[in-house]
Amino acid sequence: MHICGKCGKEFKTEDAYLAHTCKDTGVTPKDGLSMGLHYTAIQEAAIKRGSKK
Amino acid sequence: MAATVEICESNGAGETITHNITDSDMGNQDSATIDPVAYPVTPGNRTYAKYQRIHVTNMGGSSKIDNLQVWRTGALGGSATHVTNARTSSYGGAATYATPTTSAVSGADQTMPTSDPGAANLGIGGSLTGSLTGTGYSDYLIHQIVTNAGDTAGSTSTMNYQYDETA
Repeated sequence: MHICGKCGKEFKTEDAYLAHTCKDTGVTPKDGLSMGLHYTAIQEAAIKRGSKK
Repeated sequence: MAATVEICESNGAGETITHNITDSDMGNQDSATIDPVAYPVTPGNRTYAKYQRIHVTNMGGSSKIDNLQVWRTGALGGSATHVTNARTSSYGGAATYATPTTSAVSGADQTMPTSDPGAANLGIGGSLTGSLTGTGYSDYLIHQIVTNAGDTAGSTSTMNYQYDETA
């Protein structure tokens, strides 16, 4: 079973989880906003680290 | 666009996966959302082991996710210790999920770093040099708090999960 840690909704499959629009975040788990309000800073920092290699 | 990443926790005999967790509640119950005050650890015992993974749900046009690093900042209560399978050398490969218990987990015997380890300490595909080029999961991060018989209070600290992304 898969549970959305944000809205608590339960799913039988991961695909179903990934397709749902979360009532807490307002987006699907594939959307960057699901990472939280500071998602752009998280993503930019990850890309900056990756670009240094 | 960039990759979308979440932390997932696995619990129970049938491996229920709770996605996009916001904290690691460690105590005397196998659950992603326990109240540690309601389920405190008896001093001298261990918390239930946590099995967590970094999950890439969308590459967002990027080509690679790698260099996973995990550490804790903040002190533990009393003289408790925090053990894990995360390590920067002699990595034990991808851990297999097992129903979490309060027993010691084989291979999860390293001290959780308390600062950025500076190099990958959690693998992908069983290797610290592994990478994700599409959606998927990291290896399991196993961690557990080991309390001392003289410990009387819990604590709150911060788990840090870091990844590199190649656009």
